Amino acid sequence: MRRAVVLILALTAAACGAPAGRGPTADTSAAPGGPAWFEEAAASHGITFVHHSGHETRHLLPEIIGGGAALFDMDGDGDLDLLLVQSGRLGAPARTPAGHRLYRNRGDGMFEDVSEQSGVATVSGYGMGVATGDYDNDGDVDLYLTGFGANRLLQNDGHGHFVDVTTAAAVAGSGWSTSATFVDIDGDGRLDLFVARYLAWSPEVERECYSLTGVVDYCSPKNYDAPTSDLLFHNDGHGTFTDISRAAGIGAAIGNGLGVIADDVNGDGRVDLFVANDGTPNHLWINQGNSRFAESALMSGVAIDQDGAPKAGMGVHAADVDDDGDNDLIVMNLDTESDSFFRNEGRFFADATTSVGLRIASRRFTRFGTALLDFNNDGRLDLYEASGRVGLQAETFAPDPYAEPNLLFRGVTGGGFEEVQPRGGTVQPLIATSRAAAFGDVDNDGGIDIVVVNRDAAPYLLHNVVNGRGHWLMLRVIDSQGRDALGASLSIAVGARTLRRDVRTGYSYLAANDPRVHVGLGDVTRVEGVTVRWVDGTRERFGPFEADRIVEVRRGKGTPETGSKP
Amino acid sequence: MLANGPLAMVSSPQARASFMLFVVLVAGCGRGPAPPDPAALGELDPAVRSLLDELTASVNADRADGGRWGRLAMGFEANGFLVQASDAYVRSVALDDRDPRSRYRLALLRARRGEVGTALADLDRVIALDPGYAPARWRQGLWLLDRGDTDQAEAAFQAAAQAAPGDAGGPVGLALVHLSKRHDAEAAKTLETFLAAHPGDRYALQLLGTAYRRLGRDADAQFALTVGATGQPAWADPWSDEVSQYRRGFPAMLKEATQLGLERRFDAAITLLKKLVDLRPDDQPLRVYYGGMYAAAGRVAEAAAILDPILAADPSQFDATMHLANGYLLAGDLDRSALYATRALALRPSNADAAKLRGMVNWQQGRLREAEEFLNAAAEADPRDPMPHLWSGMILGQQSRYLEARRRFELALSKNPLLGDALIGIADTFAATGAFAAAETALERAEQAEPGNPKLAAARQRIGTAAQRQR
Repeated sequence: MRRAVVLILALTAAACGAPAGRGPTADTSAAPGGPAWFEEAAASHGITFVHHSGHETRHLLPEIIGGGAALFDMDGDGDLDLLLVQSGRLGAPARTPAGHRLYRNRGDGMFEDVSEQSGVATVSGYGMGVATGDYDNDGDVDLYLTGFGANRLLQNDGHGHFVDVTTAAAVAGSGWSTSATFVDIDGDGRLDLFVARYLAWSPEVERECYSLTGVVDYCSPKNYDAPTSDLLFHNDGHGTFTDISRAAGIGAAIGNGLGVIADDVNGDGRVDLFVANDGTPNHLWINQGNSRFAESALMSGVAIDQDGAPKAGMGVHAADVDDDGDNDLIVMNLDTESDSFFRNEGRFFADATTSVGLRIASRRFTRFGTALLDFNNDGRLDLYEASGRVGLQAETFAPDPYAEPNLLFRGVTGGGFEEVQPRGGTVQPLIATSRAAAFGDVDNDGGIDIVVVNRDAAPYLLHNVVNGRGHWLMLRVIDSQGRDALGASLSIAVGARTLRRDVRTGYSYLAANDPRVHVGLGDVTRVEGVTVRWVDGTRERFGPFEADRIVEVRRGKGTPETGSKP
Repeated sequence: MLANGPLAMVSSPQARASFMLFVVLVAGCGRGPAPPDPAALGELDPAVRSLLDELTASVNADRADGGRWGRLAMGFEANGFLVQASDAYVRSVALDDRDPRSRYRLALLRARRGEVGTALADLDRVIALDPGYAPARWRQGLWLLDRGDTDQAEAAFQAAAQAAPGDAGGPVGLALVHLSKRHDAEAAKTLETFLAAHPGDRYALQLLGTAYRRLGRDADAQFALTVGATGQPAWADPWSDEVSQYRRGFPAMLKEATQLGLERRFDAAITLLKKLVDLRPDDQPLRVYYGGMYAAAGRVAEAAAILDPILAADPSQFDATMHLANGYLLAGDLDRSALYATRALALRPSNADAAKLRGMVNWQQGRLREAEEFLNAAAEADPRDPMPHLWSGMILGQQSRYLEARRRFELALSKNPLLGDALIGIADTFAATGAFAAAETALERAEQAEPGNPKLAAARQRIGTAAQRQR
């Protein structure tokens, strides 16, 4: 009888329409689809970090957009170590450690927390992101941590011990820094430093904002109307930098900078800089030579996309999606705004978001970290997008009301994308408030793995488990200084195709990535040749290379190309 | 009777009792599914709760009335409960399939969730019910374009243009199709024709700039893109706008007050803000905003009555300081305005608005050199703003420094090519140096850029008189 009554009540509820309850209100079940591309393995691989935004009662804007991550080889042992940038607590006493964690990759699949002995644990300030690069040309990778207030330059001794040299190097900056990248702007062989800044904010200017449902929430950057200029530091050698932001022209425009990438967008041999701005037009700084830049996003077609108004630009990447030899740009935006996919057409960019298939699929979520990389090694670039809201909505996916599922798109023939199911490429969708995403081959197996930082939660280590991945080649490209040749571009002959790939660590959002150039080869088992265009314009040919291995390409060891000019 | 009915099929007494219970419960639940209980939505603004309670009660009074469900859906949608809104729209259209509006709004929600295929099917039905509603046509076009179906999108935009020939949705949508097909000359032609009738449509101008850029017409593109940079589609859609009538609560009222202030309807804004202050007497930022509205209205005494006590308690309150500086400037009390502007700059030395205000006060006080310095600082702090350049140009013109003035006017125009005052300033600098033909050209440009500029007639007369005198 009791069972019958339960059934009756259930039927009645169905007939009458059960009122909505609280808790997650959106469908979080795995969509039908193929096998998983990634397995989440952070905790099982020894990563114990938990991000803390520091949120207590007031909604302070910096709390909603951190933290960062870097995959880099801190000790030169050939595998990627991991830095996770903690936000910390706004208003914490000076010298209070933020809580960044550094994990050494043991090479056996496990990570070991070496924060204390590395010197990273004592770094203070409210953290945001990180850039990696060998600024002193001593052969190891240094760190630049951004945040609210002063940024930090940490010099590596080659063994994963870091010393704070910010003051001596004069790169502290000021204000609220977000993404940054090391870039040799003048081809002098020394890495300069570009730092995106968000807006002129302090706890005193914080205001009360509300969600559509009337709940107190984080404000939009538009509520402050306080965009700011970005920073450019010239590396003078001898461990010091000069702030040339104003002299270089960078101070001539302001925006709410969140993402940055260095790329020679017009193919003139000089590296340019693209900044994704949140709610203000994006910036494209065209390198004029002589360390001068001119802002030309509007005329180049990347300030805004075809929807008209500036979108909430966050993460960014540049890659040659259509194999035409120049890099296209992708920018992550807010929910209801699609991604902006800008196809490089030489003289300008064209909004091709619809034609690559991202227009509808991308706009349900708020996307931050991103990369165009070949996760299944089929020779076509795929796309990963780490999502998480910045404002409350009535519909929720998890107890964390800002949490959203991440997205994965498979690259298809013709330079388009199709969303991978199950959503995000994991067996069960991972739902969190994701921010930075750092990309690299953590286990050197030829598959690109991902580290995703989640607000007020543990990160993801997404281990690439694509079934039947294609062949691959990974190139470590070393310049004459003995460091990763950031800014070099590669033309890689793969069968009948020539693929363009670049050496860079600065892309995505608040992240630094594997500097090695990864290329998926599909069925091809041998790369006939690789031509490297070095930062100074000279070209050198390397190869052939057999597939499925990591190779080193060192300047001076290849064959100079005729007609190549410095 | 029952023995011959469904109960006859139920064998055991327990099952029979259960079936009776089911019948009673279903009968008790009214004439269909119940709407969600607003109490289950968590903590709500009292005004939102009251609205949803009222709309829910209306539905419960007659659950078979699709219109009531449609109104409840709008109440949910306007206040951010999109899932509940979607469910209520579904119920509304199930009960009354002849009303296109609920289905239209349901389509918008579905498209927002990425369910574009379903949304397009909804629009087909909407169009069948009301073929003359143009927004349904151009939305259909936009969604088809989102899916890459350019031919069908083109047909939808053409239908929109036929349904409402004066609206932007049809022709601008067609231009989007042309751009997407890389028929750039055709896009330019469509947009030029549209802009001839609607010169103020900045989104259309922006798209025209895109077309020009692709056609290699860089100078034309530069102008169109700069002017159109702030444009976005704002196409009329009354059915969609109806939803906003259901927006309630503190944030909605605050937004409305802000909008009233932007429209310079200060009395209405102040009345609304007073209600909010009464609701939240301890909300200091709100009180500062309230005082600021008085200042913007030129009612500086009332502004000071609100803001002075706040500043007495917290002299670092920047917004209150700026409001008073602004209020005293509007009231012509330059000394007090200067005092507060100076304090504001002390609080935030790199604030562009504070520097601009201080420059304006100095200018009005006749302290031109100081005014220039502050305006230069303002221009540096906010490179987007044309006004410091414009005012600097005017100050330089007053000092007969015509070349420098013209350079500043041109800088202002590089930020906003439609700034009529800057073009008039350029005309004046040419006239002052005897270059009357160039002055005339600048005036013509001003007439094109900002036909309603109230200073145009006087400028034309002034320059005309000077030209006659020269002859």
